[in-house]
Amino acid sequence: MQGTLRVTDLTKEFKGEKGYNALKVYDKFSLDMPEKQVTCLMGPSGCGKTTFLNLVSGLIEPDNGDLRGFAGKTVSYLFQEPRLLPWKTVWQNIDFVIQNGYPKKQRTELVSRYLKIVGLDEFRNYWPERLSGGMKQRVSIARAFVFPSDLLLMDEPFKGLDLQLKISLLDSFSSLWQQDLRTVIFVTHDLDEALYLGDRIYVLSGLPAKVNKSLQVTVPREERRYAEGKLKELRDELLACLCCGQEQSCASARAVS
Amino acid sequence: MKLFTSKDKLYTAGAVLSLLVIWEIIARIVGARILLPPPGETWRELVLILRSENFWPAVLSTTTRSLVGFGLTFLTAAVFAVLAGLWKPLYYLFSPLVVITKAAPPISVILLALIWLGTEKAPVLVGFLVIFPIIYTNIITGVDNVDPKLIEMAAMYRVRRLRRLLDVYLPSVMPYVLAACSTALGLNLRVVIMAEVLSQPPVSMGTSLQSARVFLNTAGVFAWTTVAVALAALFDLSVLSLRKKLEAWK
Repeated sequence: MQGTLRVTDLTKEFKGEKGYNALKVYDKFSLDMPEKQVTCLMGPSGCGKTTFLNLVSGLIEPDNGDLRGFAGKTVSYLFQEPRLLPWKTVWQNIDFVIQNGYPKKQRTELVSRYLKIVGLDEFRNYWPERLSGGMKQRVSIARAFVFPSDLLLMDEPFKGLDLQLKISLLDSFSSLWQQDLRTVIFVTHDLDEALYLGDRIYVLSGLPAKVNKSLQVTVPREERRYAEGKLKELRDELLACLCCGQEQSCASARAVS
Repeated sequence: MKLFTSKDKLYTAGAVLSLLVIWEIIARIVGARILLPPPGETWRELVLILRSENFWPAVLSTTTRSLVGFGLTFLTAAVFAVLAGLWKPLYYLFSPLVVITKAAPPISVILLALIWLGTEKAPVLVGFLVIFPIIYTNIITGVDNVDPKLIEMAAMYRVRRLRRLLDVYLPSVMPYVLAACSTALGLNLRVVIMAEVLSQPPVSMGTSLQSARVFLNTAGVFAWTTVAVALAALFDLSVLSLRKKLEAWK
């Protein structure tokens, strides 16, 4: 039976710098995230999505609230930038995160396996400097999966890539994920990304953040096409929710960030 | 990465040749060997020096003094920089010292070193005081510039502290350390020779320079200078090859 990660009554306030008011990002906020599924968080900039990732990963402490199911979970993170060590090769960069966990032989197999899935096996001995932006992000995807994490947090990892590249990365991610199901929390501004990868989509808004809409994507993964097909109806619904009645919270969010 | 193409080499050779010709012309115009010996005479003096039994001991003693001094300074600066990085009060304690040593005229440093230490060790101390701030400041800057995003990434993936130190911090600081080394190594040699001229240890390049000057052997001064330049170039090349090896990823 699959469990659920449950956040209840989460409260987090950032103390104001001199001259600014304190900022309550979350006030008794609750959210359910089914394990081994992809939960997407959408919503305007500054409504606390990255803060949420930092809270569940333990990078920052909540003022109050209950994070059930998170204790003892290992986390890997896909950042907006690849965050590769420039002085290590593609291979070494992936190996870097599992050096303590496994014997050498097993590490070799693991790194090799994930490099093949993201299609970078030939580039294993390249310095990151020599790779394109998309290839670097693929290395960081392989690194996130090679790490034996229960929870994978993604903070807009496909942002700013050209469409073709984005789709190929989404496919890389999708195939990796289906071979190796993890609980994923995926922050994105792109509704097509969310619909393509997500099982459940939450739209957040306002400060303190509230769940504006919750949407289940039931279309089977193999029938999904990026930005088309059976996802069309859901897309319209999501688009309507993201764009209407948001002006105010967007504006106040911007004033914050 | 190729540092020099054959074309570059050709140009460099051309430049050296032109400088030699200009030197010869000026020397002829001046017409006084004590003021400016022509290249030919300097060359003959250089050969004479190279053959003298004093040559190798002098070069060896200055090189040792310079390298030992550099090594000691490097270690001290690294330890100080790490301590200052770990504990802010030490950083504030060190910073006025660094500012003062940076600003003090080298000659005052030489005089003080001569008062405090014997002729053999004084040049080492002078070198220390001149290059310590350079190495120390560079390492501090390097530590300050470690990318916090990479540190966060390593922490996220629960990489052990020692690995973080060796694989994230050290390589980040390395370019700064190497840049400091390439400046400090050559500077140290020059300062040590200068201090030797004044402190007069029994055998050294500085002492030889000074005695050439005393005997009005200007060609000898030129020749010893050439030796010093060659030595500095050797130091430079070794740092350069180390850099190429360590910074292959750039």
